[in-house]
Amino acid sequence: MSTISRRRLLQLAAAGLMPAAALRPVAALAQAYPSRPVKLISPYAAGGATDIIARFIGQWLGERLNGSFFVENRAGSGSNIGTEAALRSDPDGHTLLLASTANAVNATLYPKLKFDFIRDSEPIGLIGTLPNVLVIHPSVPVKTLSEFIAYAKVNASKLSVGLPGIGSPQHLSAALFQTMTGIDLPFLQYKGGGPVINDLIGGHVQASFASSASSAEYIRAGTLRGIAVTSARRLTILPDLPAIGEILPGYEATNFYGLSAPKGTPQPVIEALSKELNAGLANPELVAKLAPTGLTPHAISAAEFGALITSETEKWRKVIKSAGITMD
Amino acid sequence: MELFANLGLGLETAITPVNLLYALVGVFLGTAIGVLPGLGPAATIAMLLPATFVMPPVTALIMLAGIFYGAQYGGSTTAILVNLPGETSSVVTALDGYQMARQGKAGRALATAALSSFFAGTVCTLLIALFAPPLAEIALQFGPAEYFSLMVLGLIASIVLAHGSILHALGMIVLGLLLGLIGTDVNSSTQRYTFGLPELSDGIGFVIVAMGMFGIGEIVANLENEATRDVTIKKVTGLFPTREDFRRMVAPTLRGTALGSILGILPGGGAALASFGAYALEKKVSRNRHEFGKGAIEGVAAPEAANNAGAQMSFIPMLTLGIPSNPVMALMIGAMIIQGIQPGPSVMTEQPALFWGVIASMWLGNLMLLVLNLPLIGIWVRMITIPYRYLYPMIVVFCAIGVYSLNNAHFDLYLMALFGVVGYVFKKLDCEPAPLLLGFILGPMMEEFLRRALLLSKGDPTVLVSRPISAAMLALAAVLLTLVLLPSFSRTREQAFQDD
Amino acid sequence: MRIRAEKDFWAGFLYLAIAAGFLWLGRDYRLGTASRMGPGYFPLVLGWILFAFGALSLLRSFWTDGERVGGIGFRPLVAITLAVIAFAALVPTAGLIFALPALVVISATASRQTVYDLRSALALIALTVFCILVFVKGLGVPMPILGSWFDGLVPPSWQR
Repeated sequence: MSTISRRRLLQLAAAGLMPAAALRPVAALAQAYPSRPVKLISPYAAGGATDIIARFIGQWLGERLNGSFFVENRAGSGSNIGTEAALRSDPDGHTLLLASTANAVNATLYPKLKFDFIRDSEPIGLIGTLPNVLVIHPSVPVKTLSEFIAYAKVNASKLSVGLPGIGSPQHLSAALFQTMTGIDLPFLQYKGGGPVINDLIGGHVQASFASSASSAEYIRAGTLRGIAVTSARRLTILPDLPAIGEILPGYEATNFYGLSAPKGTPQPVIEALSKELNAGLANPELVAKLAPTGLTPHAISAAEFGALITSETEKWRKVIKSAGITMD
Repeated sequence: MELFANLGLGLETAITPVNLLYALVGVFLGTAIGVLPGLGPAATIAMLLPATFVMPPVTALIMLAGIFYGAQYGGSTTAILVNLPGETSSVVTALDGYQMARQGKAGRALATAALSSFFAGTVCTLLIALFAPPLAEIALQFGPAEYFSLMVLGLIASIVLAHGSILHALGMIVLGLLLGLIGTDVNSSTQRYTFGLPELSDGIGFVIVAMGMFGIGEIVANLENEATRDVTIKKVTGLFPTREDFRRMVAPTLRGTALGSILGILPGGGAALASFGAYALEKKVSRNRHEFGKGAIEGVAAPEAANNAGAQMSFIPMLTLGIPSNPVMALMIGAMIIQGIQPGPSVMTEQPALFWGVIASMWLGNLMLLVLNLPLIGIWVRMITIPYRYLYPMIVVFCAIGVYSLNNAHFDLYLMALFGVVGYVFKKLDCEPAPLLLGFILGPMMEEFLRRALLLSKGDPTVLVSRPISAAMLALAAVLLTLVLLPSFSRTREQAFQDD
Repeated sequence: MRIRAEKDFWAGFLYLAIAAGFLWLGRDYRLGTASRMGPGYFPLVLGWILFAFGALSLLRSFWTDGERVGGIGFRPLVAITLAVIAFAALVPTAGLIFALPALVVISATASRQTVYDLRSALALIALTVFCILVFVKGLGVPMPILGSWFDGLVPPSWQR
């Protein structure tokens, strides 16, 4: 009986019907956490970077917290379906969300969302960042970023930039580039990153902002030419490529991946998850497993992650407005 | 010779006891989930992905590949036995396969499917081993203009699928094209026909439409006259194809394999056309074309060979370039990344044992499928002799669970119920679901490729005819359209004269 | 004027109605031009093509002979549709253990030949157990065995 009443208590508290002080006895819950399998919702299709990151993080947390974590893929509507499902779940720590840049972007991009990510979620921690790379087909006669900018200013109409969908992090990287350079490059949207790479290798489009993980192989093989990375600093996997920010001061566009919970999840649970997540990001074995996804692990506190989500949401709101990106 | 050295390395890798065992596990699981309608290979591989964490990379890929082509075999079984195509490719197999089953020839249809698939699988393994990199290069020449023209050709060919009125077939194709547009537009992100429902923003799943229109629609139609028409299959003649059957399936299998191999290498949706194209081709060239739609063995052999060839060849862009041509290949790429292997052009040179091991395992897997499936035919055939009043609730159960498992959403079940009603109503009006399904698959791709081609050419429509491959396909489409429409016009004329 | 081909008439009518629906719902989608198509271009063209096919079929029904539609099997149509809807509603709430028998029993009423006896009941139980074991336990399809109605009433481990 006691578990039931505690559960009801939690639900009431979550619904805002009880003052926070009444939650005190719940602190004991942390010891019992997790009391059943924890569902980690990845709001994208299985097999993608998000899914893989979720699986490795879930596996790690399960081992550390002596529980079982399983990944549920709830793809659709640019991560909104999975996010909504996660945020609507009982805030007891048994449903978590793999949050990403999309959550910060969609707050502006989708005006009719039934949730407010910042208001309805509880940050747990950052997992890492994944930058994009400006890549071109080798037939484009430029080698450096300065040359590319100079060439694009004159030949913008000869270049087509393939991108994996409106509002995708790659699209936003390109939009920020466009806003900061003032070059009006023709964007061409695809369904996902695979077809973009295909058409870029085939020379049907001339340039793309592609995820560093998916493009690094082609750059090394010489099939594609890397120009610059979108992160603030250079990447260890592509050390020869400058950061766009070296030429365009202030340019930075990296995708972040993190862990969030529904609002109202007990603080002890958040703290436990945050602690173990950060322990994992310092563990060389887990870091090595995450490496092929292109992720650069980065451990910060739950509060810092919350601040990051707020600042990213604000940053992309400005970019989306100034680039005039709409979902009409 | 380098080829033999490579294949030797591959066989050496594939034939270790562990890899053989997992290949068997893969094809067995694949067959099982393929037989269960709705539960597709993509969902299964997604669910089994965590299990591959602990395996060596080659073993993991061999097992996942086994699930993929095992599911193709299993999917044909359900299409033939109970008219439930769970995969795009088995839609056309259902046309004649199910009619054969209704005539008590289910065993012969199943064996035909297994044998022609095995033949295609064998040929394609060799093709991949010999020509994978150059074929991938050729596929890259296919830009948006070429893909659009290919889709047009496929669409024209699909008119041939219907055996009733051409006008109704055309209507169903266009209706399918329209239904395919439901969801988010790629170029503008406009939500089209979604009624503001996020569940519809990625479009309607193919399985939902197929299960509703084929499965549910067929059940209702079977039950409406049960007093006068008993649909229970009582007599089963021959489990294995006769000598005559073999004679009739040779040429279609060869043609199907050739067509499937060509279309399968195109990552932008070529494989989806393989079985449709092969069926349409046979219906035009076969001496027994009057039997099509009424249980022609050619109508099973050709699309099955094409479908398996297409499935096998779709590994080429994945293995040589790291480009996924379908959701299953995307999952395989995910599995590689989980294993710490970066997919891309270097896999072949840096991981030769993995590359050739997977290729060699394809042939072994196909052989296992044949050995596994031929004895199973007896059991399957006995299963459909169960009285229909017991059989049909089970079919509804499997449809429902399968559709639910797609997105774990009960919304999809409401949609399936809706498409069941639509399917039944159109069935009553002699409007067949197969052309609709093809239109449904091709609609969004056609639009996407056409708009992309025009954006790339800065609005110049001549790009469709100035590029040679594209022009050739459009010309072929025009010829085909004339061939299809001429007899129907002359028939109407004859009728008109008779009426006078 | 007499309808001579009932099937052509009704198919044509449906095509017209559906085309009209698509055209009306898509009236606000941006059209663009033939060279820079907006999201409304394809639906508009396809909608009118379907409209034309529908009109042709409708007209044809008056001047060529065709088959009659025949009786509609309302009993199986309603029973099967209701069965699927009931299943969809019951899976998240009551759980698979109730939803599946409901689906089978409701769809069984579609046939007049269904026998309601002990053997059928046992077969139904066997089917339910089989599906729970294979789909939920074996393949991991995330369907609750006991749904949200039982939250807090039974141990969570019974629910999936």
